[in-house]
Amino acid sequence: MGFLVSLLWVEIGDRTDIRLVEGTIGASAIAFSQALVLRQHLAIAWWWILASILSWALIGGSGMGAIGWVAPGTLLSEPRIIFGVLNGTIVGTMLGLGQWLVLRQQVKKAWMWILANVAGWAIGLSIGWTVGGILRQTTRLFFSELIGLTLAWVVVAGITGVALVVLLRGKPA
Amino acid sequence: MTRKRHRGRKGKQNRNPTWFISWLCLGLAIALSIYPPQFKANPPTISASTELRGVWLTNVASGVLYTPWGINRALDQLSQLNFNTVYPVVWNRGNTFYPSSVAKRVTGRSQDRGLKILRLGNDVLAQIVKQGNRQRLRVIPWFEYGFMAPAGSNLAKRHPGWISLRGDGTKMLTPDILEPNLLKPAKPNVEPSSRKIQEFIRKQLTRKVVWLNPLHPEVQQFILDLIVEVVEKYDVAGIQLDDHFGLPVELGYDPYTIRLYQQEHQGKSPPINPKDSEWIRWRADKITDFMERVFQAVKSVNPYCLVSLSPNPYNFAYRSYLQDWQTWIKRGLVNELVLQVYRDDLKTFAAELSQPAVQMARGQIPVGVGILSGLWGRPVDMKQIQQQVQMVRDRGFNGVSFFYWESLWSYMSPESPKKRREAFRSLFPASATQPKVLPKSPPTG
Repeated sequence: MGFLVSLLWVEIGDRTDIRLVEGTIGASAIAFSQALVLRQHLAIAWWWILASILSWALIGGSGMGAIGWVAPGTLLSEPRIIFGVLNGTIVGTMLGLGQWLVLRQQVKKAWMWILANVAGWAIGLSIGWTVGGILRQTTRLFFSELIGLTLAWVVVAGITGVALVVLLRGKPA
Repeated sequence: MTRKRHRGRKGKQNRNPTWFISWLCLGLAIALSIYPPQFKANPPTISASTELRGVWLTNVASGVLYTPWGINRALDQLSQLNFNTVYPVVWNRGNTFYPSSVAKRVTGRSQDRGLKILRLGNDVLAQIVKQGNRQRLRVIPWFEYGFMAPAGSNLAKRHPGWISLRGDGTKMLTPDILEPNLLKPAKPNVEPSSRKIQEFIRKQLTRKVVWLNPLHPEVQQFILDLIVEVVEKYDVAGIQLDDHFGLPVELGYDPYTIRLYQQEHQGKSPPINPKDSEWIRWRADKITDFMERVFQAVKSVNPYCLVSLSPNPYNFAYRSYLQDWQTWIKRGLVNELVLQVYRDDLKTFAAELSQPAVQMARGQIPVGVGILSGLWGRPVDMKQIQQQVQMVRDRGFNGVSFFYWESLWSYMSPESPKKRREAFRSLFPASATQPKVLPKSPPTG
């Protein structure tokens, strides 16, 4: 949901076009949506927003680009799967680390959050990018990348959502 | 219990900062919507020239007229990328896209229902004119549907006597808005089955249309009133008619037209063959006469208001839609021609530009070329657009106009929106003034 809202301000594009500014703006929309849900369970929602924005700004500012809004340069499925796993692992680690700093104040075994993010982003991005690539080859419309990335975010949300539920069941740190 | 209390207390303590950050994000989001980030304006690399750089804004497969930020965003981007003309739709599917008392009287509806719901009945044309003047964009309202109307529209239902008929008494047509068969003329009969299936589905989904009889005096008065209303009410640079301002060749067998033909042919009925050359000529001349009325009416309201025309190539326009635009230009009834050349094949594209009627037109008035920048079902690569713009420039035409806004640099394109904008920025690195059109006095006699 947050991703779809972010599209009002962030235009999906090539890696070189989606940088710090786009990452920061996109993350604001995502983090705001997440915080609306999280504030019912945790008293750290505003730190969560800050951590998410800073993490995405860092990811966007790096050479990798704000990958959650990036369409790969190739249309071929194999490289999309491989780069999806590689980029997803890096993004998941960076984002997971940033949010772990916040989570660990209230949740036990918060380190699991990093693993969940790595898994979510590696799987989500490779699936989303592959589907987006296949659709784009079929339709010749860049819109396909939007569908692919939406799918990626849905997978990420599913995996990390399950992880969060498990974590919240644990005792407070 | 302790934890609950603890969380509750913490939650209360953090309530203000949470909501401060949340509102900050929301505020930032709203601010960015209202004031979107500006593109980097490249310093002009070449001196400003004279060139038509237009785009059609339509309501079909496009949200530009319906979203609250659509018009401002579009005109702002177009201005920054050195476009200078917009052709916003004002007449489509039996509805106007401005509050119209003429339409209200005839159709019962003052403007498009979508605008009433999504824009709360606001006057989008007034907004386009105002914003266009600010952004130095010439605004030329486009009467897209001409004499065409959906079979189920209020217009068609209320005025059955206005509709033209085939020889067998039928009236329904499937609109081929872009004449898709013409897009790839090199292989008209070898389409893959997937394409045929796609075409079949499209035809099933497409709403059938009827054609208002352009010879009928009440139809003429209605269309004329709409055009005059726009020219009187809005500070526009011109009005534009397109390929639908004609009559499909198979039509013309309605009682009114038959009676008129008989009156002028000693009681003889029109030929059974709709493609009979004299029968085509007679109907085309009647439409030309009406075109002259339109021209005179526009000029009598505002002599500086352009009459622009965006027809199909002449042979097709005349033989299939009885639109004799060559004669219109010779008689001084058109101030600007934007020829629709929606061809993928570059050789065919070039061939259309060298047709005698086009060459004749260039000797009389500014002539631009309409280039297809894409449709949902037919995306166009930027490379093709660049090649076609170059071909137009190489041949010394007065400029280009793209069909349509949504496919210039949106997700509807093969490339990313930003890459498309960059490509258009290299095509139009500096601003250009529109081709000069000297006002002509209305023809006499």
